[in-house]
Amino acid sequence: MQPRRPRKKRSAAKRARTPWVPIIIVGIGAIAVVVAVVLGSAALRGGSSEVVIPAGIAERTARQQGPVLGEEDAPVTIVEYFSFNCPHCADFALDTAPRIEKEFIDNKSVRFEARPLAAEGKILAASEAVECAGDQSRYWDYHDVLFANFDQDPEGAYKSGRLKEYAEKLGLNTESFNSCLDSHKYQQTVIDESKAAAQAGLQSTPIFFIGLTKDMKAETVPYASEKTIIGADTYEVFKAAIEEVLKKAQ
Amino acid sequence: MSEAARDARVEVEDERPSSGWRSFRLPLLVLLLTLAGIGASGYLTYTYWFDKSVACAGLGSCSVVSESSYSHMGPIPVAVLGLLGYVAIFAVAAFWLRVGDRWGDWPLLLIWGMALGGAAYSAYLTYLELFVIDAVCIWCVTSAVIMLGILLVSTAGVLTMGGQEEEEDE
Repeated sequence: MQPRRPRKKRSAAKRARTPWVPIIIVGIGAIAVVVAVVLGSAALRGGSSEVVIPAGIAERTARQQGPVLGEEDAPVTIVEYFSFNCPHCADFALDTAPRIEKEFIDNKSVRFEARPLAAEGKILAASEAVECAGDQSRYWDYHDVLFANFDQDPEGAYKSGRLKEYAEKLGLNTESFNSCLDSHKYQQTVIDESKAAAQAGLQSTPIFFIGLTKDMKAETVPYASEKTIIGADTYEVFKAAIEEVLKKAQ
Repeated sequence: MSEAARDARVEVEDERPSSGWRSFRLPLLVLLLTLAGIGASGYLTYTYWFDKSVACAGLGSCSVVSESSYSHMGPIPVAVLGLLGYVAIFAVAAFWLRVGDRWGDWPLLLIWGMALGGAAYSAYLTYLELFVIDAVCIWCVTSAVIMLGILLVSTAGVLTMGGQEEEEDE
């Protein structure tokens, strides 16, 4: 016969009993909320396989020379520092810039230059691609297509295949464009220019320098501009600034 | 040492941290961490709202992150989500500090749930910074570390929840 185990007695020692049920319920609830937020934000960012070509491109008459839109001898120059992943830059490119182009660039009052800032990471390829389009005098057409598609599909707009697709849709010489993009012809130029701007103290995008062409052409950032506009301000603000500088040019 | 004194010592060692620890020091620590979080997310909200550049002090590429398409969820900036999260945790911690043990462990559990969600979302955002955006924002990393701190502190509290007497075999 086995010895009988000693009878167990109750003790007054306290031992915490962790209430796992509410902890597990709260934990699962918290993770479920996060999953919903992540999936919801992905859905809100949307996704589109259609290439968007802004209507204004077909109507464009202004001359495109590399990153410059408009005539070289226009009295006023606007230099914009932008980034292809900047929603405010996209807003400006799609809403305000077409009005400036129609009112001031088409009548040869203004020339507009675009410069990259913080061109790194995923947008470096886009910044290189737009320079490649500039080789075929279509910098601004391509620039507008990039922002229009970024606006529709921020996640997928700058994938390598898409960058080449835009060139094809715009009717560029794809062999030359693809070779330029694949060889990273402009990578170092874009990085250097972007770094130079950052070292000069430019931190946010978009930022606009508006001044007399004769002064602006001879200068580099920070420009001897008459006006500086930080952020994608309204068309009226740009119009007033341009008209003020135009008066000085006369 | 007398037997009675030894028993008393054993009993003290067996007890979970006192309710004072959980209802005063713990919420106070959470409050302090939350204030730091409100500072970081508040600054990012301010720069987004007023279209200001994010001061990065040469650490990472704050503007690339703060201006990326991942910086907002539809019309709501992620910085605002973070700020709201910290304010909510702050409110519960302040309430907890005021009511003490009267509401049991529910304030702690609520803080833990929010911190778990916040830390999980911060982990997702940090993944985006490292592997999708290819740029790091020091303010976002700071916020993620603070949220992780709140999670660790509240987890320590959650693991000491309960405290009911249980029958123990001798």
